[in-house]
Amino acid sequence: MPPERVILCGGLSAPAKSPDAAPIRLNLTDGPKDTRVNLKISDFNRRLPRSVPVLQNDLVEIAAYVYSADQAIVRTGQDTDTFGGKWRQVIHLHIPVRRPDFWSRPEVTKALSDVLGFLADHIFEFTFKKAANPAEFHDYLDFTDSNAGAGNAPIDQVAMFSGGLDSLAGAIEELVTLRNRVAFVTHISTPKNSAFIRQLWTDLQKLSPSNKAVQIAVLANKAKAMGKEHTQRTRSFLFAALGSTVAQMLKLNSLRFYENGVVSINLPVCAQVVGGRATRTTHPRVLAGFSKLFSLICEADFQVVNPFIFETKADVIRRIVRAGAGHLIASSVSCGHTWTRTTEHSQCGVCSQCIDRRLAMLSADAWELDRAARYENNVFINSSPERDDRILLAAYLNRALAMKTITSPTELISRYPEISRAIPYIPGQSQAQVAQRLLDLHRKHGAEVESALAAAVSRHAYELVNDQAAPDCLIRIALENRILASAETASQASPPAPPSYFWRRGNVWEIRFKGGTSFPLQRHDKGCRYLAHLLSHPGATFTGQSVQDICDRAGEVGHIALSAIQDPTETDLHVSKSIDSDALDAADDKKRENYKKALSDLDAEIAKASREHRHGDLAALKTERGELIDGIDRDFNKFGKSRKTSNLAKSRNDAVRINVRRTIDEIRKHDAALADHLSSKKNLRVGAQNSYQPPNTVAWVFTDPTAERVAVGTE
Amino acid sequence: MGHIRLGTLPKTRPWIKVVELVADAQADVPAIAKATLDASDKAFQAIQNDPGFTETVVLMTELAIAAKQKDPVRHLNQVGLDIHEHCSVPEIASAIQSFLDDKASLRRSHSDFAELSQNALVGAITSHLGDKLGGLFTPSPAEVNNAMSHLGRPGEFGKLARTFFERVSHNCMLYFLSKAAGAEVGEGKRFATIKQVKDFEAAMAKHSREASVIVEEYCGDWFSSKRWEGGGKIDRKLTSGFGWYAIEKIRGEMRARAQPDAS
Repeated sequence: MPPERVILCGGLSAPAKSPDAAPIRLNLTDGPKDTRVNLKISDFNRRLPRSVPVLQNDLVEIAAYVYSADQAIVRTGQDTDTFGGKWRQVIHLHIPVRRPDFWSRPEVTKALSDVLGFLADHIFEFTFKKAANPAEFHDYLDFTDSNAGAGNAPIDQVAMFSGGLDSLAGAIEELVTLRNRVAFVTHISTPKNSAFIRQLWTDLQKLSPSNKAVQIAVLANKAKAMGKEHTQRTRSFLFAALGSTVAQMLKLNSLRFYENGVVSINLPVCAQVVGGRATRTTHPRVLAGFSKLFSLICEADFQVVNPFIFETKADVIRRIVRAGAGHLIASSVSCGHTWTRTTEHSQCGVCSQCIDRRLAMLSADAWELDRAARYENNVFINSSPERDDRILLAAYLNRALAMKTITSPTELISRYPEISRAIPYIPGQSQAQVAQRLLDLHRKHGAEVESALAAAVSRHAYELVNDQAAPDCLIRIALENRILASAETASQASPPAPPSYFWRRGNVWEIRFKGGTSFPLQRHDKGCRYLAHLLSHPGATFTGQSVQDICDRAGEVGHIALSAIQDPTETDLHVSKSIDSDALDAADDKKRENYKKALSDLDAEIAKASREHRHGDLAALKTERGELIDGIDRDFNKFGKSRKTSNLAKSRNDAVRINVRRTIDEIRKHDAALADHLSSKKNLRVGAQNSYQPPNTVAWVFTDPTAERVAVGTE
Repeated sequence: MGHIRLGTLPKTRPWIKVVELVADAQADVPAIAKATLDASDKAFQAIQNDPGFTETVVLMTELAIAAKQKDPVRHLNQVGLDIHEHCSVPEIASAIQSFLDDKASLRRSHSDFAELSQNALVGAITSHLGDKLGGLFTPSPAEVNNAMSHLGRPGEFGKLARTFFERVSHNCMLYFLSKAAGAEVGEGKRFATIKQVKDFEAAMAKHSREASVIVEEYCGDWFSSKRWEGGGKIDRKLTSGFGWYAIEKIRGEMRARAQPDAS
């Protein structure tokens, strides 16, 4: 079972039977300093209505507690030996609210748990209690700014504004292109972010002097003494809760997140990125979950939408440039490593957000609008200092470039099944249409990354020519992909499979005849061994006994190549050696066992053929069984004693014959031409004398040249 | 937004060996696969009888059982899969995801292995239906029913199950190896370029695909016999054992294929 954590909010006490001996305590308004959650809402340039619906007030507090709890529960990456067993945790939140009757309703709790469970990849459980002394909403409000400039005109839309490129493009779209009167909600997780957002905001306002927007900033963080999970998976819930509250205060029923579709869906870049390890902050399923929850709260249809779901990052940049706002790009910050930011370097340059941004700027031909000096690391020509960043860079590039090769929506879902969690939640079109559009989106993204790489080479030609680019910088690991592609293909490409082969890999025989379709055989190892031996010695004749001796020796050592045990002088008839009586007894026992096994296998085959109504096979198998019984009668009397030891050679001949015939019957199911070839007595003789001598030579190959190791029974 | 969380391999001897082999340009794919299988034994112990994996294998089996019914859609609706007669391939894929996600919520647990298995089933089914329906994204009910009905044949079930178990095995392999391989990119390292990482992953996929051949016939026979014995149904416990046996069979085969060349 996953670890369980208990979060006691607002001074609530632990339940009688708590699964967590050390619950985390969180307090919004009072309580010890190391349990404090800070929540301050500033309406920068216009006073909002004071009255906030009670349920919205509850929602904001719940969101603040969830966000703080999620940040306080550190998730370790050291869980390989448990298959990620510590990644997902059960989080029991005990929260005081004004309306426990509403929040405890099954459909509300389910809507809340479902959306948060998917968003954070935890299991959330809630217990709501009546708040003894609830805070007023204005306790969270902070009016230190000059509340002027936005006027009192009605607001058309509420949108989220994070200060990154996508939300900047969204803001420009709203203010400049659509000419909407908008209230923007900004979440400030750390005061460090405040300055750049304010600057960007000021610049943005200059773009549309006649259409002043309202900006609401929310500062939310928790006491530093608590743990620190930096990915902030539930950040968008807090963000959306505040947005929906503002919308309700303004009598609006929708909310917009602006995020490009590739990042919004955030498909895993490599196999270890399972579930919520790729964050789902604006994933279509999350936005649909928010819509459902907020609709329950406001008892009306409430929609949370992402208008950029079918756009790439480069599309978003082009929007900004087209609107004449390219100069604002330099002031926006996309970096996910907020803790590394300095005044000089506002972006780290190596996180996935920075890589994405830099490549998109190149692809959109807007490179000059982003100041390179703001990036701490120029990932194009420098090494990424951290191991994780290097892994991420390679994985990011490989995923993007792989997208270009996908040709159908089916292939997209087959290769990235995670996308099927997004498709049903993108409204307005059939799922088939959405799948096609998402394929187009990701293919476009792949093409843009490729074109960005070409542009990066041009930009950094000097460093590349003068050997000033690090061996593992972005350009070199990706560029060699292109330059050396043909050379690598020549040196690494697998040689074409031979037209005729008969080899064993692991416990499976792989067979192909004259360029036909290859097929595996698993259940006829003996027959395959005998056949492979004969095919590998065209023209030579063997007794059944010598075939058995050679091949069974190979069977005993298990994995020795047939070629390794063959006697190169074996070109004449191999006669049976004289056998002493002990050996004969042993041979009798072995023969008895062989017959038993052959009979048992045959009976199973007959039963199977009967069940599957394969009447043709059934008749052949029954004939074969009759032959086998005849053989047993010949070799053993009714008491099970061997009739004549001189029959030993015959029985061994029979065993080879039967095994080979059954193998050929099996081969017929896969390749009739080969079965005909082997059934022809002109080509293959089995029984007392065994040989393979086709009139027209077949170039059989018994070793897989493409295998990582020598193939014929050698693995 | 758009954070991606990566993990690390433990600093234990078996995993150190994996990291060393990944860094060693001379180490071949079967050897790396075997070392990874050895090192991941502990992880596989930790998820023995994983209910999420069982749920996934049970659903795969139900899809095949449904194919034998007069009304497959009705049977799957009764199982809990939200599909209808006019479903497209994406709708079937998302219905499977949704069904297994709901089961995970009810269980209050979901391992990475269950997640890998779940995606493996969605991928395998999509691939199967895609092959049968070609480029038809809005197939007629008859076409969907026809594609689904193939699953009821033991041979077709064997193919689907092989694809599924192959994907589970391959996903697990890369789940571990991606924690090491990506750090070995750059001149002077095992992978000079990202293309070489891709080639390595493709070689590992080929290795998994080849090893999985060992379960195809077994799965088809298992389905045929157990369905017959169960009068058209297959007991959940049997299915769980079947799934684990198939996984172990492939792991064993991958190990067998890494044996040193005795000749």
